[in-house]
Amino acid sequence: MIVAVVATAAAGLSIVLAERRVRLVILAVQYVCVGLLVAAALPPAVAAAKSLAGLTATTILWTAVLLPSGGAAPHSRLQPERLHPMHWVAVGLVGAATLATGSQSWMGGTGITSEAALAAATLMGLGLLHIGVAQGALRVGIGLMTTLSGFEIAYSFVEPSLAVTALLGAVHLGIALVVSYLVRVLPLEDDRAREGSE
Amino acid sequence: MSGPGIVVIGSVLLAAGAALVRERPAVSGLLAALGAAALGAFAVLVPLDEARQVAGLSLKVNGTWSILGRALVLDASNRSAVGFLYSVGGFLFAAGGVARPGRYFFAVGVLGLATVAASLMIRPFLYAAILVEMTAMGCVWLLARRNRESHSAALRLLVLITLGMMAILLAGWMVESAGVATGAPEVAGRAALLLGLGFAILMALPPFHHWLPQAAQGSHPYAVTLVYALLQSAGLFFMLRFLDNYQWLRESRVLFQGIRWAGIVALLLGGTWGLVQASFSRFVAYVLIADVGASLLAISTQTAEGYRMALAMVAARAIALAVWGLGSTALQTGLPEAGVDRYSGAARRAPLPALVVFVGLLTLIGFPVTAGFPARWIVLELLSVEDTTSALFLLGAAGFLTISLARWMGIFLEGAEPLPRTEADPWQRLFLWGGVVLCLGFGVFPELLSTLLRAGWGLPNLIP
Repeated sequence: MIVAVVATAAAGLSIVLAERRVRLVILAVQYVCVGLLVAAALPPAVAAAKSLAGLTATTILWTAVLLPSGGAAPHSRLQPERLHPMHWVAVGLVGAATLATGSQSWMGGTGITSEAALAAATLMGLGLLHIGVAQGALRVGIGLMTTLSGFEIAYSFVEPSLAVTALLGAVHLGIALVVSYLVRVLPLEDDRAREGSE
Repeated sequence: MSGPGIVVIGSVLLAAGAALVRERPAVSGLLAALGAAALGAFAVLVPLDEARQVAGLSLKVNGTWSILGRALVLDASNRSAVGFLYSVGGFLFAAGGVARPGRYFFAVGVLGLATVAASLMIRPFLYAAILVEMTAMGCVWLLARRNRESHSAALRLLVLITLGMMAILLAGWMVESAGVATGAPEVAGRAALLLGLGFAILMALPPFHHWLPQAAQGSHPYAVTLVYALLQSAGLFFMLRFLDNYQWLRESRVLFQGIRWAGIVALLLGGTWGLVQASFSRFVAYVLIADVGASLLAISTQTAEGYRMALAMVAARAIALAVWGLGSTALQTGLPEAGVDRYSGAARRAPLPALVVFVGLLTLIGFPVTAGFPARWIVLELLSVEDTTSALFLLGAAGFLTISLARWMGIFLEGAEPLPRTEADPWQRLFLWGGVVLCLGFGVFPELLSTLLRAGWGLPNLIP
């Protein structure tokens, strides 16, 4: 149960924390937890590969967001984002609702463990909340990857196929690449202008 | 040799070739167009699983390609759809060299065609959803530019398609493993609901359409054309394949009633929101939403003729979108970046591109003598027998959008002062006139589309 709680806490913290580096570290922790949770349904090597795919996706995001570039002012990329206090309230409410749902047998008959069911529900709920409150590509990307991780935990119990696991792992990498492209290669004009003026 | 392998590997090589010559858009576009057309012809015409003598050698093209323990299968059930997709791609790429939507447009576009084609060929079918997700990732590349609308559209599309993928994966599991086919009504209802959600997202039906107006406003018009054509075709082919494969879905009155309501909502939203838009680009997005509504009404008739007309609308939509995208690209050269007066007097400044834009939109609306009209007329005939209300919605939406288009025409023509004209180059003019001829040619001589309508679409249970 500790792994499920850590995964839930990671998903909640990535919404309310402003510092990008910390959020990416938390995302990496979340992927490790996902690997541990799906190990109940998949062979250990496959579960480890799932974690590895997630960690690779996190590394791609880290590289795109945090490494200094030639043209842009690197310090401005590290400025923490401003967050509304209501984010804490929203995380509390959605977290409580999904914890309540996840503690019931919402996927009964599939052989899913109670720990995995709890983590799947909370990750999907908090991931969707993250997407809903997010503005920028990085936040939307992290929210989407969190939602997908929650779905994968549940889905690995109903469809423990190697090919599906591999393709879904590729989806995480693809999302990281797309988000990196938007953040790094094609930043918004107003963001670039702001960086130039700082 | 395996047919699906040739299609997929051929597409990857073609994309690599198009990327290599990306600095020369005309060459890149021509390469992608010819390659896509060749792959489309291969998918439709090549004899599968038969040994043939070619130049003294015995050649056999297998219909199955095994990869990672799964199979890609090219057979009668999907070869028409795969061939159609590549033909549409070839058609769009041919004019893309003139529209110049971006350096990687052709390479990413060909890969998008390959992933959609693979999603139609893959067995078991539930993997298709993941391949469509990969198509959506390519679409982000095509749509995103350095403005907030296009970023937002690209991200929304990615989020929606990912959620749609999850819904279709779960529905696929229910259909294949949880005993839906053996008649558990509760599970069947849930599976149908999840499938409906997935298809609604793929086809940008309300309320999952929000990425489309933003993309129309912020992205390159030709990129929107390809993305929309790809996702719409994928959504429609998926839906028809599911209906063809599963009798319990095909015979569900509730499901077809749901499809009809979804069509009516799309027509209502497209017609009314289109009428009140202050932005021409957003108006175009609502025309597209209404057009999908018409396709859904065709499917909801639950007749072979209705399914044929839905497929004919896909073909007409592809032509109209290409024509609109080309005209819109040519029109935007020399226009102010933004503002309410952006299009004021645009038709006097660039008459041919403006004409092409309006002909493309009239085709999407289904105006008489355009390529979009014959299929709509037959759907109206089918609906007038069984459901006059739906037929009135179809007519009403077309009427609203035509009135709105007339209002925009007035804005395009307004102003008394002579404006400096922007002339299209000869190649651009050739393609623009070609677009007008295509839209009107298929409308005046609808029998030209009859070959397409007679084609075996590999849906024996829907179109015997």
